Amino acid sequence: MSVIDIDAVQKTAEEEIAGADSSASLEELQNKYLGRKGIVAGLTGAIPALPAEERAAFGKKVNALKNALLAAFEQRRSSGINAGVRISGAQPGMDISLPGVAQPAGSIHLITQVAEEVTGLFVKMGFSVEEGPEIESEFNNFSGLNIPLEHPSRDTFDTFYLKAPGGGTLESGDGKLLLRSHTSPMQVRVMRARKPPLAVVVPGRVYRPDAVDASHSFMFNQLEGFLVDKNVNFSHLKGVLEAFARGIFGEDIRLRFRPHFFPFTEPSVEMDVSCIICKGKGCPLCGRKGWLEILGAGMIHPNVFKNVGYDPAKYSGFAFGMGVDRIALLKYGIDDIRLLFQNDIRFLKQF
Amino acid sequence: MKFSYNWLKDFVDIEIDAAALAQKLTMAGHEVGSVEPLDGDFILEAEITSNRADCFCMSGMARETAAVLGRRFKIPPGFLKGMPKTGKASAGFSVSLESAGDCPLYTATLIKGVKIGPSPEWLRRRLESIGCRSVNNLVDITNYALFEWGAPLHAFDLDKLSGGGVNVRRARQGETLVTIDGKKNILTPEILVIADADLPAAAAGIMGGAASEVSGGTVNVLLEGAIFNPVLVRKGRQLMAAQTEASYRFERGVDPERVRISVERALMLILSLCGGSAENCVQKGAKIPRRKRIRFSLSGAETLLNIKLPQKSASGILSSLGFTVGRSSSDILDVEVPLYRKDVQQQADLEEEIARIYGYDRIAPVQPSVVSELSGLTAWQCVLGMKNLLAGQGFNETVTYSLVDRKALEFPSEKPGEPIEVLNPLSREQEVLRTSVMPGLLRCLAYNLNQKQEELRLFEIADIYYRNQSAAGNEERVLALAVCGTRRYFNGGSFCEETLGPLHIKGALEMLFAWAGLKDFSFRQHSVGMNISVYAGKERLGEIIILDKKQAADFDIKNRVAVLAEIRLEPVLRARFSLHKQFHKLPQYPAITRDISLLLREEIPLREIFTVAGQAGGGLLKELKLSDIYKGEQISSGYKGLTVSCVYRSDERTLTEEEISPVHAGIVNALSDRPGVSLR
Repeated sequence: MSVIDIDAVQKTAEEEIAGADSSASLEELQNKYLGRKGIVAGLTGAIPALPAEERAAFGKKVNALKNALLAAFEQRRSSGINAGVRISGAQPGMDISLPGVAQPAGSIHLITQVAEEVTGLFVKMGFSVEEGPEIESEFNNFSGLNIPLEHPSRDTFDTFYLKAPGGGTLESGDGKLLLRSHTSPMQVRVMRARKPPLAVVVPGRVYRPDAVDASHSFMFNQLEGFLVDKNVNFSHLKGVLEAFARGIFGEDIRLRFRPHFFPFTEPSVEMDVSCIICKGKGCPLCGRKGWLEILGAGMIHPNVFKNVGYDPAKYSGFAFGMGVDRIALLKYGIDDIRLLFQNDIRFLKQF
Repeated sequence: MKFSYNWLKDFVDIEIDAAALAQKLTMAGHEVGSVEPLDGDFILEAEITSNRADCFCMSGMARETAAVLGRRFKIPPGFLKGMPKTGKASAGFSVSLESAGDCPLYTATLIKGVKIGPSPEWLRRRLESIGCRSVNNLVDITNYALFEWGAPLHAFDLDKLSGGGVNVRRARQGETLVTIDGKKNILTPEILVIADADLPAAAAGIMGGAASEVSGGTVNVLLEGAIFNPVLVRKGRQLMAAQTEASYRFERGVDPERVRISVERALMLILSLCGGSAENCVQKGAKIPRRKRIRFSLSGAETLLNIKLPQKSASGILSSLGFTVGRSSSDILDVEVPLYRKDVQQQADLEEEIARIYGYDRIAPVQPSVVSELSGLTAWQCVLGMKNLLAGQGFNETVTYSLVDRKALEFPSEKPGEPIEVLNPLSREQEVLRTSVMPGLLRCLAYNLNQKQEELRLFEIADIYYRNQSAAGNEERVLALAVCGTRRYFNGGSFCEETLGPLHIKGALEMLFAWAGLKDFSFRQHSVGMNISVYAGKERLGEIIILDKKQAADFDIKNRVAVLAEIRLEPVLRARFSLHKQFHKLPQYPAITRDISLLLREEIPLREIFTVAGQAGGGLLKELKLSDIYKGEQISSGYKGLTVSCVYRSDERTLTEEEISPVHAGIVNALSDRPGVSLR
């Protein structure tokens, strides 16, 4: 054995280590060179056969080779076995800047996403989710909710009535049929069917004869919620709605609760959040008010309880309703509600 | 409504600026949208809720101002002039009411010898500051009283009324009235009028007639203060398409107390600005109702509002709002409601009064402990799961209108029932409820293709609506899918192209059905190119509709095939709700796969091959898979080549070649015996 042999062994080994394309092949190489019956072991085994004057120098060389190879294996492992190494099976010249290979991505409509986000917050607070029909009776949509017929409070609830085949209004066992103008009729439905305690949220489509423009649509989406039990009070209303608003708009949002009027709640509330654009200074989005109206709410009116057969002396509760589309528009800075229903795939894929 | 800051100050001492007042009123339930300076005054634009008829005037808002500021509301001395003694018919004038239900109160005050001219500067400016045009001194005064007290007044030129009296009655069919806006109205008995001996002179509570209008030559005046049935006024103004300041207030309710004060205020101003003398007042109508009394429980309010409510603060708040408060016991206040607060009927209404003046912001938020109903899987969750699966398959969720134009129903899908029309659509686009979601998706396809989008996969989960014999208004949730265009994609080595078609929809549905655990679904097609029915067992779920290029062109889709589908969702949800997954032992013994290559006539469906092979295979045949399909050079036209993989496995032992060979030969024989099928 000569000195040159050892250098050649080291060179070959280092090339092979650099060329290893998997940890298995690296393992194999380590065995080949440093294993019990490996090349280095073979060289060490050859030492006693050498002339006495060469043994020490040769032994040193072999030891240096062993250390160099150990270091080479170690370095190869730590630098990542695949880095810079041709992956087995790939074509030569594979270009990682080529497009990735994936299934085509679809999308879930923004309205669904926002409705789910809002619903999810209430579900975490213990509410359950129910859905109701869009074709409703006049009783559920109005009278049951303490909204008298032919009353100005009906003006805000302009409603699509359904036409009977012979003319006039389509009727059911429960009065005239219409397209619900809010999700509140589900209060009547759920309370008529069940007994407290109740904590329910209802997402769904609603309809009002509004001319379509950037901020109006004849079809839109609401989310109704109500909680009925013994000893529910106004503080609970504020607690739940505050948790919701912070969940949707962030912890640093400011809130205000203003008195308002809804026929089916007393006291009634409108909840505003500080404008998400100007933070309350006043801007075109908030009409320079600094506040954005987010929802209507209130303690459920005793007359509603009477209408569904609950004893208002025994139970109390609160209800709230909000526009899901409105929250979507505000949250994502969309300036035209029509975009939600145009279904331009480039819009849909943004969310 | 617009409010003048200075005008409010006539009734209450306000020591804060207009912006601060706006803030306080907003937080008491009258949202002030803007405060604008105007000639030394400030104009507050406030939204008045429909229950607060009493706040559609300066005095009403001044009373609210007094309450939020903790001040007293006061009527300045010399503001009013008492009505003259109710005169007799012998005084030469009579009032008759057809129905006290239609007109619960009518007062007619006769003022003789007035001088009509322009209004003084202050009067004109005040009216104009809140957006009311000045006409002449007398008309302006009636408007001034309206805006100050909220009870609309009307002045007739007494000499233009024939027959020495007025009659409040329903209009006769076909009677006409030219109103002061110059419009000729044809009346019906649904409209209440003030008529002289011959003709209608005014539409009650809506608008006066041009013939009896107070004008430059007017000398003698009939000043009307009245209450008209709100429902009647509402109907009337809808029929006449004439919303006025008067009708707006009558609809929301006017009370006898404010009618009297409005008339007295107008009289005061007329006598001092127009001269003349009030000679006679005739009053007719129902008995003035008594004020409502409510026993108000302080502890009840404390419980509902979660506040401490000392008796003194409660009665302070209520008195400042004009309620008369007496003490009945340590817990009960005896509250008398003024007639102008018709909205206050019970405990809850007083609780709101307390809360809004006390301040909603002073009530602490508390998280309730909710006893939640752990109802398991809900339809909402399930549908959301489906949407996620579909999005993962490259489908984009759309939300299209449920109301459509009639033309959208002209679509070659199966109709679930008769369409339901809307009685009062605003436009053609909203005239009927859709019986299928597919036309909506089809329009989305056309729209997006027009936007040069090439690869379209859409879905929507929404309701369809129809009438049939069993119900007037059926509503059913469906899943609709649509695909159109070409997908060009990179497979890692090269580019591939696929035309989106029925199998893409089938694939999405199969995946959903598998997820839902829907058993034995099938896709049935009468012949190639025809629409496909989708079944679960014997239950029809829906259909897949293929619009060829010619049909698609009718829907503005050029040179492309469009494929749509609609599936009733209920059976799928039902399957998902009853899905109970069970563990099956993993296979203990290896499977052996053998392929069969076949040449068969093009029209023979794969299903037929699988059925024959399945029957011949017996218990060891665990699975049949299509592993290749080919047409082209080696295959004669009218034929196709298929490779079917048969997977054999036993649950008891490792199968041997000797066991499988006869079974596989049986399958091969059975297949090659079929007409039109041969081995390759």
